[in-house]
Amino acid sequence: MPSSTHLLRSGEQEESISASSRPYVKTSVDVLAAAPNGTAILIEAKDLNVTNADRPRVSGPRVFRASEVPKHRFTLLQKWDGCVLEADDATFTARLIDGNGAFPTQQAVFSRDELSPEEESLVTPGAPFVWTIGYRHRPNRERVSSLYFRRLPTWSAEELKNAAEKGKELASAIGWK
Amino acid sequence: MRHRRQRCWDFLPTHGTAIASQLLLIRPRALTTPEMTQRAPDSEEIAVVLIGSFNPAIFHPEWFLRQQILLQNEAEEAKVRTVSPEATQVTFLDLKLDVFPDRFMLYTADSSRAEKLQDIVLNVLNRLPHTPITACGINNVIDFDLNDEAYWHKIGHTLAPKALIWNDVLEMPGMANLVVKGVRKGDFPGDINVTVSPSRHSRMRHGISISSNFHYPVPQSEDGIPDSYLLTPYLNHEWKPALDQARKVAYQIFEKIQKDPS
Repeated sequence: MPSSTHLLRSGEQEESISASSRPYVKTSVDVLAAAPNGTAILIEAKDLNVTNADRPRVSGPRVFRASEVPKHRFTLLQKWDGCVLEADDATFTARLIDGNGAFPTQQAVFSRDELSPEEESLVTPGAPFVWTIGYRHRPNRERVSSLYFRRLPTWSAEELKNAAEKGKELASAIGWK
Repeated sequence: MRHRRQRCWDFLPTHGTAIASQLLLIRPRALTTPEMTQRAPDSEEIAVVLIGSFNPAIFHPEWFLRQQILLQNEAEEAKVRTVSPEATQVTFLDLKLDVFPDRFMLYTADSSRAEKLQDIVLNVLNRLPHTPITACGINNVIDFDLNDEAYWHKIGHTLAPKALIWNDVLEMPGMANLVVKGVRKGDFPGDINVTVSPSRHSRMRHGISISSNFHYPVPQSEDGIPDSYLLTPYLNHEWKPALDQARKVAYQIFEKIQKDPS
């Protein structure tokens, strides 16, 4: 079980693991409360300056309840992978590619009003984003169009060096001069 | 319905630029096609699970903000359930983060957050390059509400026939969980685990759930240290295939196991 990378869903861990092999965590807690279903709720509210090593240690199931998981179901209608081509103060133009290949590549103009102030700063030529259209159920169904600007890690110096080397290899392989 | 979609395309320029709102009118085939073989799932969950050695205490929203993984408002709106050396549980946007000393899981039930989830995991890997990670799973669970008891049973009985064994030893045997394992070759060899089961959504009484797990055991160097740097290309390369896998299985089931004519 420790090497499993499965998603554990609603109470799945408790059902599939016998009590004797259930993973426990040892911790020193400030509040220990019993939930109605018998599991323990461990709450830590320690003063960071306390270095007392004599706090009693207790064991408790380390499984959180599934009810805490946000459950805003989403029915996906269409997803476009976008790339900003040009931008001005009010709008930006982007190339849109349908990842499933059902529609041809499109070019579209978006109003910057569609974005939150924080995301607006990410609008620069070349910036990748995803445009998702679908129904969000919370609990009433509402049609949603959301733009998310990708926040991928920047290239490291090593990655850039490796890419340059691969480029050189490719260029020499095809006789590019 | 097909005609309606074509009309939507008519006013889009073949070459040139459309106003984005016009594209909103496009109705993708997944919804305009009545057959199950292309139907959009009624529910979708996505999760990335990392197995390794983690320090749960660092995964506070403030850390994500300082590392520029979350925006200011996202970090401020995050709900911290627990942050401790033993376990951390935080929710932000529609994502849920669980971290234990041996397990990191980021989960969402909102498929519009898929790329956000991917970006967060990639950024965490980027900021913590020396964290030893031994395995990574990209998980996708999709549910379809069949709304047809007879068809629901037919799928279960076809995937797990009862006549040979089960009818003789159990009363009213039913398929609860079918797990099929496959092998993934290529640059990132590993397993693909597919599970088919009745839907867990209470409102989908006759629903079917299909989940896929793209399991990647991270290769180790001769001294036993996992090559964790391979996870970034793995997540980039296998992300789309991993999210397509459950759909492929679902559409294969719907194509091969047809509803009986009423």
